[in-house]
Amino acid sequence: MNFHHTSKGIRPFPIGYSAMSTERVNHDPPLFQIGSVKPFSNPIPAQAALPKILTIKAKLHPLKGDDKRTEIVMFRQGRSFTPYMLYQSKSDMGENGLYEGMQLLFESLIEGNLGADIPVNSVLFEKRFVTQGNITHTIRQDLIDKKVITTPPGTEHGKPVWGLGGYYKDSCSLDQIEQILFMPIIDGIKTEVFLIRASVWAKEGALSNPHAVLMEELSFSNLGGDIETGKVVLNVSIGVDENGNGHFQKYTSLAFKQNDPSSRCVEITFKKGENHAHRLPRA
Amino acid sequence: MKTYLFKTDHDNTCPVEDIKIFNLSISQRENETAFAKLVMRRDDVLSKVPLYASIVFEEQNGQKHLLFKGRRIGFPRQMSEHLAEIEYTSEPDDANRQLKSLAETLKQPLFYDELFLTPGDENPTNVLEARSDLFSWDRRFGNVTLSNLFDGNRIFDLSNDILSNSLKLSLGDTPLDSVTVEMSAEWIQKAEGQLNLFHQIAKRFPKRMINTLTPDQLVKQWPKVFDKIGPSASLKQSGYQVVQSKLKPFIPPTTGILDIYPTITPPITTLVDGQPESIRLKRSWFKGELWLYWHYFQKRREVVHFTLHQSSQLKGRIRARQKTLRLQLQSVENELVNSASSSFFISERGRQTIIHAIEIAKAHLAGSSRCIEIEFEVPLLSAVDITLNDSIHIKSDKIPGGEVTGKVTEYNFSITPSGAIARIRLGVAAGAKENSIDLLPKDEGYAQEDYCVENNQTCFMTPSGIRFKAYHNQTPKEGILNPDGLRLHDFIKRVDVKGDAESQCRYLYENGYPARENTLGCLSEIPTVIDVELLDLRTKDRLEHHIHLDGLGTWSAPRQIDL
Repeated sequence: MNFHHTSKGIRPFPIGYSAMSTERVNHDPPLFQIGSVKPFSNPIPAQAALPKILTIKAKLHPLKGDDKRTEIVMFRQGRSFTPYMLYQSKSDMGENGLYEGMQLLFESLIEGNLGADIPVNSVLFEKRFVTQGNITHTIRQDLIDKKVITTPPGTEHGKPVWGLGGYYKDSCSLDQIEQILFMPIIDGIKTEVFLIRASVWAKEGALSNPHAVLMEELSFSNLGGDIETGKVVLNVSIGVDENGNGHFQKYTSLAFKQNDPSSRCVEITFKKGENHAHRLPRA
Repeated sequence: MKTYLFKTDHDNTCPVEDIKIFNLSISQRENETAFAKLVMRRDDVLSKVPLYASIVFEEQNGQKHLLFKGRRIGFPRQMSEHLAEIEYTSEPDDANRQLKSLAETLKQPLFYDELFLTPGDENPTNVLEARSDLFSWDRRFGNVTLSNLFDGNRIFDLSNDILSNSLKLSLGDTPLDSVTVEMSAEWIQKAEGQLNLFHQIAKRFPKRMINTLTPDQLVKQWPKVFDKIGPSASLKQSGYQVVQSKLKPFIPPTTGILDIYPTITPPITTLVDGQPESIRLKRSWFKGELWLYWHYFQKRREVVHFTLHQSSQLKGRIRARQKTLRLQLQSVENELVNSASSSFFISERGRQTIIHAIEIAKAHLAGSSRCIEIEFEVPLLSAVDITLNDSIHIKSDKIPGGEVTGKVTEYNFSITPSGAIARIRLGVAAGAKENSIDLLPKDEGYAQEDYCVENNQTCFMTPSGIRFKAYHNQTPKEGILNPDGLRLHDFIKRVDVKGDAESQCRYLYENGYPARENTLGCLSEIPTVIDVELLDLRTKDRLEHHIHLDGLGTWSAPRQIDL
């Protein structure tokens, strides 16, 4: 065995590693542009961007107060008649006409793009009804110490009328959601009440009773009428200006549709109104 | 004096009877095993010579010396009517195993480096590349050892044994004046990552949020996922690509008068149906993200240059001879500090290769440094034990300086009916120094390099004691040197925004009604445009960096003769 190849310089050195060229790995300048002249379309004024008509789905939310003990007692010529427990009536109007209010809660947007979300269950509209508290109503028609004591005072033969509450029951029409009134009457030895819808009162008076006297200020419109007469208002934000003032587009209710009365849902259509501005509170 | 042939089996040695050796020649040169040629009777050669044999020389006083042990090779040659010649080699049957075993012990750091070898090359001689040593086979015992070029294990003084007129002194190959090394390493520097540009763009807008009166154009042209970044007329091979992208309009917080984010413009007058009308435009605000993946793969080639000089007594007296070694390392990609490194040699591992290369250069100088050849004859009895692993000292007035110590490079033992003579050749180094700095303790390698401080400069030192100055200030200059250390702001070279909402608004006031009827149409002249320039990641065929080692010491072989 010869080992001449160990002599220095005789044996060639091995060929080492050659890395591949990287000339074509990155060869363009790292420049880019976002946005340019083309294509271009005219911007739309902020308020013009909102739709003329909006349709939303809302949900009825009746407000029922606590159980109350309200007595109605008639006195006539020194004689009292058996009190009537106002909110324990078993009649349809007596049982369902005791709500303190009715809210319309936002469910969803059906038609129209506002560019922003309205929170679900936000209150769009609240209709309040007049109810009676935990009191005893005493209705007198007496002559005491040669003085005539009447209810209401100074009304000879006057028939007082108060608000019982709002009417609502499942599957009822929005037109039926309205104020219920009551008028105390004497039935034999008992005090009784006569119940009447506000719309009927407004239309016919107190059943042609010229002595009926309305004891409280209350609304005679029903919920459906309120919607149709534009009482439900939606203020959609257009934006905030350079001074921090909020600009809003007003939408007023125009019509409603109850596709399924048992669902408590109602579709409400709004029309675009005027826009307005006001200072926003600081966040 | 008699010469005997013994049959050498596994555990059994017995003389071959009735055999006569007429002539015997045993010779060996460095890097070779020994050969024995025997001239015997033709019939003996054909019938009696064993396959494995030992040759024993017996003095007249009966003392026996083992001269050779080996295996028969080839067929009888020079056959005449009565005589024939047969040849034996001292190469043992397990030569390869022995060689590998010895080589394994020599794979020591700084003296052995696989980056210098072809992958898979298991040649044992690789371990000698950086050493001033050779493998040496013993002709009598068949073992291999490491033998230094200059110093044998033993020194014999044969001054009084040299046969008259046999001493010859000659000049062999001219020693190398210097060895110049160019050692290169190649790798692909690799780095990649991701960055989110969105906030860098947004903060160039008023209120540090993207806002515009022309959102449609901005949204349409906002980069999409997988988009490559680059000028529109290019292949967009810039090294950047969109991996996440979002541009989402949102309503900024209402914070009153302190910090207002208006979502509509002040009133702007334009003609509507021929009548001037005050309108407000929507000012759109955006949030989002724009994540880019980036990569930088750059081929790098780094070359270390140095020249190691040799000082010799012949310097200036003979024509200088230089040598250049070009060493190309194997792949260093797994040896880098990290894959993004822009330098290999400026690292601890790189320094190890430099030290190894210096040792290789030194080994080349050493290999050429035994330029004086001395040849002489002595009675065989005086040299019967001499091997290639020995040095011989001679004093003679025929030698310049009167004496010399040389390493045995070749010998021939000749036994004929007329006598027994040993002819020996020595290799002698004419170094300039009394003691070479190459004098390492035998069988002790340095585990790692050392360093020293000279003239307030850090120097490194090879195991052979060759110094070189620290070179770590010779860092690469081209390309991205430390891509792993890049931060977001390093990538952003320029972000220009033109036509933000406030600029657009001002433009409408200055150029709209009454100067022009269609105030809103003026917006086409000032769209929102974002210009971005990022860190240039363009790569080149390769980036080459050169490191020059300074302050390299001069190496000298031992001064074995005074010329």
